[in-house]
Amino acid sequence: MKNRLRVLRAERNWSQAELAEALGVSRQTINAIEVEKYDPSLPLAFKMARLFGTRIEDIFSEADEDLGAPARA
Amino acid sequence: MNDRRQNFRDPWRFVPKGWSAGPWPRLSPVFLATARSCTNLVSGGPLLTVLCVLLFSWSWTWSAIHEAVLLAKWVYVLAMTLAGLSIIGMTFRPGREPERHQKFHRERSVARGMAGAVVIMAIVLWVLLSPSIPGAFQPLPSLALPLSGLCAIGVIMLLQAVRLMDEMERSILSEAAALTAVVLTSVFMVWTLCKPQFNLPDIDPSWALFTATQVFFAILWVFVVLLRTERWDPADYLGWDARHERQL
Repeated sequence: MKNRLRVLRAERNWSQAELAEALGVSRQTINAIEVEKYDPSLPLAFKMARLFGTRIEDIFSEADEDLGAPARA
Repeated sequence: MNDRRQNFRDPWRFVPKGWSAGPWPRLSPVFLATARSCTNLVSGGPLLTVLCVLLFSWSWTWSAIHEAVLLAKWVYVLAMTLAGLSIIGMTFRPGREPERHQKFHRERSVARGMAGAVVIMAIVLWVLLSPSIPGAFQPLPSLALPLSGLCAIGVIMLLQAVRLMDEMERSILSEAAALTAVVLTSVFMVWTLCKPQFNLPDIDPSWALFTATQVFFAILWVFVVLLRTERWDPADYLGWDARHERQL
């Protein structure tokens, strides 16, 4: 699964440790999600979406999907 | 202080800011170096056993291999004890902590719980594998109570650590445990099936326990490295390494 976590985090100038603290997980978990080695659970994904003020599908997408492309009607 | 922390070769860079006073910070690099060396030794347990077998049993007889494995056992159990104690030493920071390190409380509690459980496991293994005790692994009346008590404390520490773990840490632990069970069951089945044909010796329970511990830590280490894409490092996990302070 692809994600925009690193981009969203960089936009807010947060460190991995700061994001981890806000989400209540370890920094290693944030790193593993960013490098796409670990897919978070649904509750954690919802937590991330709430924290960034966006929808889950704006953060995560399937591997063959382009996150930057606008949604099809 | 900042300049010192920037210098990658300086072993004192792991000492957090505000920790320049008192004797504890002076011991921190020692704890860290010991923890790093010993955890690598523990995770490389099977490799260590093979090396011992190669070094000390040129004749490749069962008795020579058994002696080599026995040597590996002691090195392994000693490494487990040292690694656990060093990590516990790193997690205790007497006195007032700088505010910026409060956030690592969860990581420290997890590490302390796991390390404590490892130390207790090592002590129990040490007693069970000790050749001075006749019929090792049999419930000796004099040792049954203290060993049971130690095991209970170890289980409580492990459960406390698991309770504080986040979802990825729990998934790594459960996958490693499941894979260890699969590997050991397969080895046991193959050993039992091949025993009559190749005239293999009976499985020694204490040896089986030692192998199970070795396999579990080796798998756990591989999982951590593969899933986290980082070398497992006590300093990194405990938030002592300044390299990860701000990764943008």
